[in-house]
Formats: sequence, structure tokens, C-alpha cells
Amino acid sequence: MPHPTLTLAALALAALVGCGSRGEPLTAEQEAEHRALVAKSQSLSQERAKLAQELNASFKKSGDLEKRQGLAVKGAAACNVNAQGAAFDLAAFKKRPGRRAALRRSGDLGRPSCDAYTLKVTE
Amino acid sequence: MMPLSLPLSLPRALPLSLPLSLPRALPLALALALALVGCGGGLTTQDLEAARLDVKAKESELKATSAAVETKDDYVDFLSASKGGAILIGPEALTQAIKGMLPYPFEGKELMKGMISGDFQVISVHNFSLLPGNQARLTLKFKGERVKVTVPSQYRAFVSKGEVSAMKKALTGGELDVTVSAYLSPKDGALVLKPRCTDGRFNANLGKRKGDVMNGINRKLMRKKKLKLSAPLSASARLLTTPNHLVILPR
Repeated sequence: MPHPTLTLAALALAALVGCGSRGEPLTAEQEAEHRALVAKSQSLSQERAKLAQELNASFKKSGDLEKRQGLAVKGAAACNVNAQGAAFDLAAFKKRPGRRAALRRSGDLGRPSCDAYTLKVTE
Repeated sequence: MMPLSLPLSLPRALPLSLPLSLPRALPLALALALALVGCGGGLTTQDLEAARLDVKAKESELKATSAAVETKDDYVDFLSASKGGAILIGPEALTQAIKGMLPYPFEGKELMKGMISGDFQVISVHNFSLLPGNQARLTLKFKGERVKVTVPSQYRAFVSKGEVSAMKKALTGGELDVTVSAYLSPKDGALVLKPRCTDGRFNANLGKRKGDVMNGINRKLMRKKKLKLSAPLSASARLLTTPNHLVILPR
């Protein structure tokens, strides 16, 4: 037979973990709010999926257009902007190892108002 | 790096690992069943709060996706008619910049004080690629030396010696697949990077502990990072990704 003290302790635990942690039962008004939120969540997901499709298509198109315009650079480039010294660290570590990455102009890109840059790491 | 979530995950393994006799297990099973069904299984205030948070998160995702779609139109204007300016950084330059930050050393105690010790390093980065929606994917290689895994006495009954030695071996090295999401925070004047480890291959098979390890890495090693932007990368600039570049359109 299960031990009575253990059984009582288990029921108390269930009451604490189960009922207590899941909150109070909803009122009719709150249930209506919950239904509306679930419907809104579904509609937001659908809307986002549609936009994401558009975004995925434009990702590829932009890449093709860059190639056609001779702008698919291996390093970095800036057009109509002076990006000299702009810091751009992409290493998302918890702490920085005392170094920084910044853009340095390295020459012409062979396209009007565009310069070639390198992303240089310095101490 | 691995047993980061050990104290949290061990109680989950408790019903499977404890040598309970049937009569003693019965009250626990009853408690578990009651805990699972809650108070009759109806909706509670917690469900309502979860639904509110879910909608809030989806609204913010939608906002970010809409902004990315709008940015794409501005970029097409720039490419086809040279309207406005742009800074373009290719995957090769980004990879080199990350390599310049390596090796990145960290101590075992940074991952879990009192449980993991040793000298760890992220030593290389490869497979960098840009993804739609301001995301990038990369693989980081790490190694660990003088690795020690200490299981606190209260958990020793639930972790076999074999598991401890597998964890120790796993921590000596491996590869982590990481996806980084980037967005601009005008309020902070910063570029925000949110890395997430999506998969990992370790020097030893972690079996059922792999999920715990991945959770631990994401909680302790992959932190959201805010990078203060310097001119001309003002916080009102916009970001977008193409297969060839990370593009910043300054305002």
C-alpha cells in the first residue's frame, strides 16, 4: 500500500505545482479575450508567413541585381557614404577580446561614387 | 560547456533514474498526473498571459519583417537608380572580422561555476552565409583543455560515471552551428545581435544530454549583444541581407 504521508505530500505537491502554477480559472470575459488572442495570433502568423515569402524572393532578386550592377564585392564597399572608421564588430561574444573591427577605405571600386573598403580588426 | 543545465535537467530524469518500488512510486505518479492536468484542465490566467505574450511576440516579428520588406524597396532604388547611399559588407569580410576576434578564450567556470573547470577557446569560424531577414549562419570550432566536470553531491546518484566521462570528453572540442539575427535599436543607437546555437557536434556522443548541453550553451555562451554604432551607421539606418552582402542603408 502507498504510504499515507507520502500520498498526502504528493497531493499537496500536485496542488502546488499543478493548480497553483497554472493560475486561476478564467472568467467568461477572460475566456472571450483568450479566444480573441488565439485568433489574432493565427492571423499574425499567416500575415508574417506571407511577408516572409516576399522577403525570401527579394533576397535572391537583390543578389542577382547586385551581380548585374557589378556590386557583388568580396570585401566591403560604400557608395555615396564615407564609411571610414565605422566600427562593425560582428563577433557576438559575451566580452570583447580588446579588439575592434572597423571599416578602412582601400581604394576605388570602379563604379562612380563607390569606394572599396576592408573590415579591419585592430587591437 | 555542456552540463550547464544539469541541476535543472536532473529532476526531470528523477522518475526514470530512482529505484522506486511500485507502492512508493504510486503517490508520485498520482502527483505527476494531477500536476499535468492542473485544476481540471480548463483555461487559466496563466494560459491567458501566455496568449498575450504570444501575440506581443508575433506583432514584433511582423513589425521586423515588414520593415525588412520596406527596406528591400529602398535597396532596389539604390541599385537600379543609385538613389541614396549604401554600405555593403560581404561574407568574406565578415568572416575575416570574426576570425580577427579569435581565439576567444573563456573559462569553464563562466559556463557553470563549481561544475565545469578548464580552459576553453573558440578557435575558428567557417561556413559563414547570409540568410533572408537579416540573419547569418556560421560554424564555430571550439576546444577545451584541462577539462574537469564535477557533479555536486546531491546529483551524484543520478549521473553515471560513464555520463561524466562522456561530458568531459565532449567538452574537449567540437563544432557549434550558430544563427545570428541582427537588427537596429534606434533607442540604444546600437546594432543588436542575437546569436543562437542550433546544433552542435562534440568530441563524444552526448546521447540524451545533448539537448541540455545545447540549452546551456544558448543560456550562457550565446548572449544578445548590443554594439554601439559609430557614424555614419546611425541608429536610424536600415539593415538588410542579400546572398552577397550585409547591407546598411544610412538615412
